[in-house]
Amino acid sequence: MRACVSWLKQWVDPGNIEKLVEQLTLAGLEVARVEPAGGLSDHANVVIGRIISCARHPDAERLQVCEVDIGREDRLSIVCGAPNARKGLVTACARVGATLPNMQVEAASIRGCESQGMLCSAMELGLDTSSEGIVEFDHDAPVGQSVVEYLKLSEPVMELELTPNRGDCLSMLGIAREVAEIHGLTAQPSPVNPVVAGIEDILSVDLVATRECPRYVGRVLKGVNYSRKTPDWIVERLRRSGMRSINLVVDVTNYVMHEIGQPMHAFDMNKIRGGVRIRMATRDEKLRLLDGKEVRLGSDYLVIADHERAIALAGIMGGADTAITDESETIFLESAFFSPDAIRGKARKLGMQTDASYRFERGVDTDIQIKAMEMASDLIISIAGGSAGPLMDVVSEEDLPRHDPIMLKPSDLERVLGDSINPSTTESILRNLGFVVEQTPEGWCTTTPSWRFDIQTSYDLVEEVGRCFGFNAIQPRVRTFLPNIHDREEASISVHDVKLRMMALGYHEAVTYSFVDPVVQDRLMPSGAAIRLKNPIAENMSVMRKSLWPGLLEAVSNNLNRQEKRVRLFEVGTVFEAGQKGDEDCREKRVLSMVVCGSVNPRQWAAEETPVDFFDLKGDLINAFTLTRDASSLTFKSSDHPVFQPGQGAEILIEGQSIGFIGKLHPARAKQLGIDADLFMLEVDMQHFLHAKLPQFIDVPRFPPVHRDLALVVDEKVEVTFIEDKIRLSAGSLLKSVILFDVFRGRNLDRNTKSMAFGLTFQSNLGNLTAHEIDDLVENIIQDLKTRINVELRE
Amino acid sequence: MSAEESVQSIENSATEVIEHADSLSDLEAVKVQYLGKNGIVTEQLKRISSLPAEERKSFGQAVNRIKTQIAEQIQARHECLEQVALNQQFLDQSIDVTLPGRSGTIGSIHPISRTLRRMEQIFDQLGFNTVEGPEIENDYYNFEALNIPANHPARAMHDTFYISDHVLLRTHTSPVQVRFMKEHEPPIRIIAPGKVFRCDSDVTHTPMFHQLEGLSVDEGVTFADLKGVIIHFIHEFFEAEPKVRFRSSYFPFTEPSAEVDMGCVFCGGKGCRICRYTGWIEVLGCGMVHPEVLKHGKVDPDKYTGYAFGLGIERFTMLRYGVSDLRYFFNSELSFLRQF
Repeated sequence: MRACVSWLKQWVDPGNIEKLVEQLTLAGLEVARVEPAGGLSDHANVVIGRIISCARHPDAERLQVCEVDIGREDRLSIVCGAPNARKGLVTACARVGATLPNMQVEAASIRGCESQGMLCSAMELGLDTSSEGIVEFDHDAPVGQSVVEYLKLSEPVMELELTPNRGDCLSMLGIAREVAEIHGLTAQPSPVNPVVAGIEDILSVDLVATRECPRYVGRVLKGVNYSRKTPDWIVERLRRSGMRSINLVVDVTNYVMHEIGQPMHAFDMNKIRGGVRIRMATRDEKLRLLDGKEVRLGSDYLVIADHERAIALAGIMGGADTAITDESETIFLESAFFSPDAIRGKARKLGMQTDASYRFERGVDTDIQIKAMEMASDLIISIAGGSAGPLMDVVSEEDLPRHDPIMLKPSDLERVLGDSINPSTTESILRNLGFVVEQTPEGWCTTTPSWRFDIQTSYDLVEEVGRCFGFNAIQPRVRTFLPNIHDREEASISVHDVKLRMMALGYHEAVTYSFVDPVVQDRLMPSGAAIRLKNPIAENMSVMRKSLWPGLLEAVSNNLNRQEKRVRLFEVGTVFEAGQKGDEDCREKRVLSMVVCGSVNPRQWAAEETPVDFFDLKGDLINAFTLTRDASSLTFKSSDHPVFQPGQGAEILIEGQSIGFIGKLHPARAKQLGIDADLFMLEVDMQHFLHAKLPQFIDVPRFPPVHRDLALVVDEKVEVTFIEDKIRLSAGSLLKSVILFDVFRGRNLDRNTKSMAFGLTFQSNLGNLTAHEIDDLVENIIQDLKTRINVELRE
Repeated sequence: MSAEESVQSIENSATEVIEHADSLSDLEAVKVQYLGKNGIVTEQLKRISSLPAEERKSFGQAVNRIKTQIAEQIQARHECLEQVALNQQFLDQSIDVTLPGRSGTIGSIHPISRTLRRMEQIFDQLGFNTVEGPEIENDYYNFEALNIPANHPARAMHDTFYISDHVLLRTHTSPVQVRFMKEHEPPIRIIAPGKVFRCDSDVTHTPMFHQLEGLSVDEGVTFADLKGVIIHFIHEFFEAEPKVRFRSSYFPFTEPSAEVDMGCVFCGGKGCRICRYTGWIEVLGCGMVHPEVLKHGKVDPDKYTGYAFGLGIERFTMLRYGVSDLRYFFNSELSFLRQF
C-alpha cells in the first residue's frame, strides 16, 4: 500500500515524515520505503507549456515544429515527433539545459530546424515505465508553472507493508486514522455530497445470496461524456498509489477505492439482460472475465448475474461481456459489501489476485457502500456530465457483520502486557481509533468501528492498546527458574556429542536438502516407497529422501569437481518413508550418514598416502560408537545391498537387529553420479547412538596376565568373528582378550586359505596361571575349532 | 729410584695415559693395563709380600693409594667419555622440530549446528528444554490449531509444500507448540528447533531452512517476560548489547504480536548495506500465545497465559559469522565447511 503525504493531509497533518515513518512502523504498519512522488527534480527548466501552433517539419514527414507558450513573452520553437502533439495541447516542456530523470536536454538542430527544447512523454518525465506520445495535462493547467510543483513531485510517498489483519488500512482514510491516532487525534471522514437523481432509471436488483452479499448498492448513470480526460489530480493520486489511468469511469472507481477502501464496478447497462441477481454460481458455470480469461466456476463462487448468465465474479473481477466501452450509453455502478468468507481463497484458486479481491478477503468497511456510490457518481458527473438515477440500496440487515460490544477490564491489559497502562490513555487510544467507549463498573464497554474486522475479543483490544501505547514502553522482566534436570540423564548422549566425535575423526558436517531427485534415489535405494511432493520446485527436488546418501553423494561429486580429492562428510538428519496406511502415514527417522573417499591421511611427509578402504570407515564408526561404551555390541553381516559393490557391503546390527549399512559404493552407481573415486559410505539409525552404558566397576586383577599367540590357517570363507566367538566360548572366563593382529595370504599357503594370527591374553583373579594351565586352555581351543572347521595351526 | 718414586711414576704415567684415552674401549684397555690381573699396579701389589717387613707397610700404602687414585681417575674419565658419547648420540638424533606433526585432519561442525548449539545453551540457562516435532505435518497442526483456517490470507505468507490435501511439510516450527501443550501441563518452557520448508527459492530464500521456536506457558506470564527473555537472548548470543525494539506485527497464533529488530551489529545503527540503511535488523517474530491456540493445546486460557517466539537460525548464523549468502549453507562445499 502506497500513501502520499498530500492525500493524507485531507484528514490529518502527518507532521515530520521521518518520525512518522518510525511511529507507523512501530505501530504495526511497516514502512518499507519513502520516495519522492516523481523522479523529476528539475524545478526550473521543466514547465507547463501550451502548443500554440503546429507546422509540418519541412524536411521530415513525421516531425512537427511546434510553437510553445511557456508563460513568457518569447515562445519556444520545438521539434516534436509525438503523434499527439497538436494545437492547444497543454503539455510538459523541457527547456534547453533541463535535467530529466534519464537525460539532459540540449539545444539541437533536427534536420535543419532548430529546437529550443523538448516536449516530454510521461516516461521521459519519470512518471511511467512506458508511454505513447507526449503527456497531456488538463486544459486549464497553469502555463509556465514548474511541472514538479504542479504535480507536487517532491512530496514523499510511503510504501507500507501491511499485515493481513489490517484490511482497514488498504485506503488513504485507513492510514489517516492510524496517523491521527499517533498524533492523539481522530480522523474525521470527509463530508459527502449526495447526488440528486436527475433521471428515473433503475435496474432490478435481486439479492439471493444474502449471507455472501448482505448489501448491494447500485445506480444508473446516463449521458456521461466518456471522451473526457481524467483530471491530472486524480491521475497523479492514482499513479502514486501504483495505478495507471485507464479511462474516467475506471479511474474514478479506483480513486474511490484508494481513498476510502470500497472496490466498485461499472457495467454497460445495455448489455445486462433483465436485471442483476446476486447468487451463487452453478456448477461448471462459465464466465469470461475482463482480462479475457474464461473461468469455470463451482457452486461456492459468488457471482453477479443478470437474468440469463453470470456477468461478474463478485468481489474479484467483472465480466468481459458487460464491460463498459467508449460506446456505452448507460452505465450501472456497483458498490457492494461481499462477506470476506465468500471471497477468501477464491481468486487464489483461480490463480489470480485483484485489488478488489485483496480488499474483500480482508474485510471492507460495512458502512461505506452508499458513501462510495455518492462519491463516485459525484466525481463522474462533475467531470464528464450526465445524470444519475436514484440510489438503489438492497440490504439484508441480519446478514451484515455485527460487532457486539466487548468488555475490556484494566486487569486484562496487565494480565497480558505485564505493565499497567493509565486508564485515560487506554480510553483515548480506543476512541482515537474509532471505538465507542463507555465506562461501566467492570471496565470499558467498547463497540468496534465498522471497518475493523480483526477485533473480536478483549485480547484484540489489548493488542490495540498495547501497540498504540508502544511495546517498547513496556518494562522487560527477567525471571529465574529452577533448571529442568529431568531430561539430562548421565547415560544420555547428545547429538552434538556425536557430531563432535565426527569432527575429531576428520569429517565435515553437511546439511543437504530433505527432498531429492527420484531418479538418483531409486538408483541408490530401489526398495521402499518414497514420499512425493505434490508441488515440488523442481523435479530433481520432488521426493522426500529415504536416506541421506543421495544428498551426500551429490555433495561428494560437487567437491570432487572442485579439485577436492579427500572428502569426508557426515550428516545427521531425518529420512522419510511412506507407510502402508496411505498419505497420513509418513514415517520419520533420524539417521547418521558418513561418506569418505581419497587417502586415509591428508598428504604429508610423515605418513604414506594410502587410499581409504572399508576398514577405515568401519574403524571410524566403531570409534564414534564407543561413546556408548558398548562398541562391542555392534556386529557386521555381509550384505548384498545393491548400492554396494558385491562383496564389500555389510549390514550393521545390534543384538541381531539391523541398524544400518556400510560398504563401498558400487562402481556403476559411482559412475552415474560422476564420482571418479572409491567411495565408502554408511548410514545408521541415530537412536542407538544416544544412550550409553554407565561404567560398572569390576575388581582390578592382582595377578599377572599371560600372553599367547595363535596363528590359524583356515578356509578363505571363514569369517573372523566366527573364530573369535569360538575361541571365547572354548577358553572360558580366564581369557580376557582376543586380538586379531595379522591376516596373511599366499606364499606357502594353499589358495583359498588364509592365516589369521590372534593374540590371546589370559588372566585369573585367583592366582598365577601356570604354563601347564595355559597349554591346556590353548589345546582345548584348537581341538574345539577343529570339530567345527578345517583349521591348521601355523608355526 | 726409591720404591715410592717408582710408585709415583706409575701414577704419573697412568694419569697421562688415562687423559689420552679417547674412547671407552681405550680406557678399558688402560684399566686392564694398570689394574687388570696382570696389570702394572697389580704387579706392584704382588711385590709387597716379597719386600722386607719394614718397607712393606709404607710401600703397601703407596701402592694402594695409587690404585685407588688410578681407579678414580679411570671412573672420572669413563663418565666424561660416556657423556661425550651421549652428546654425540643426541646430536645424531636431533630433529627439525618445525616439521609438521603427524596427524589426520580435523573435520568441522556445520555453522547451523554451531549456532543451534549456542542457542540451546543460552535457553537452557533460562530453564528451557529442547524438544522436537515431525517435519511432515498435517494441516491441523501447521495451520488450523495455530488459528489459520483454510483460505485465511495469512496462508499466502506460507508457500506450502503439499504431500496430499492435508499432509504437508511444516512451514514453521510453531506446530510443536500445540503438540507439546497437548501432552504437558504448564508450566511449559521449551524451545523446538528444526527444519522448515517453503516452496520459494531465490537469492534470499532456500526451500528448506531452520527455525527455532520458543514457548513459555504458565500463570502470570506476560509480554514483559517475553521482552526480558528476548533481550537477554540477543545480548547473550551476540555477546554485545545492541538496542532491541519490539514493533507491532501480526501472526494469527499470537496476540499481541511483534517483530523484533536489533540495532545493526555491523554499523552500530548508523546505517549500512546489511541493515539497508535503516540501522535496524529484523531478527525474530514473537507474541503472546493466542487464546485459541492455548485451547487447541488443551490449556485453559482463563488460567494461563504464554508467549512464543520463532527465529531463523540461518539469519542469526549469517549475522554472527558474516556469511554473505544463504546458499552456502546447503551446497556442502568443503572450502566453506572448513571455516567452522
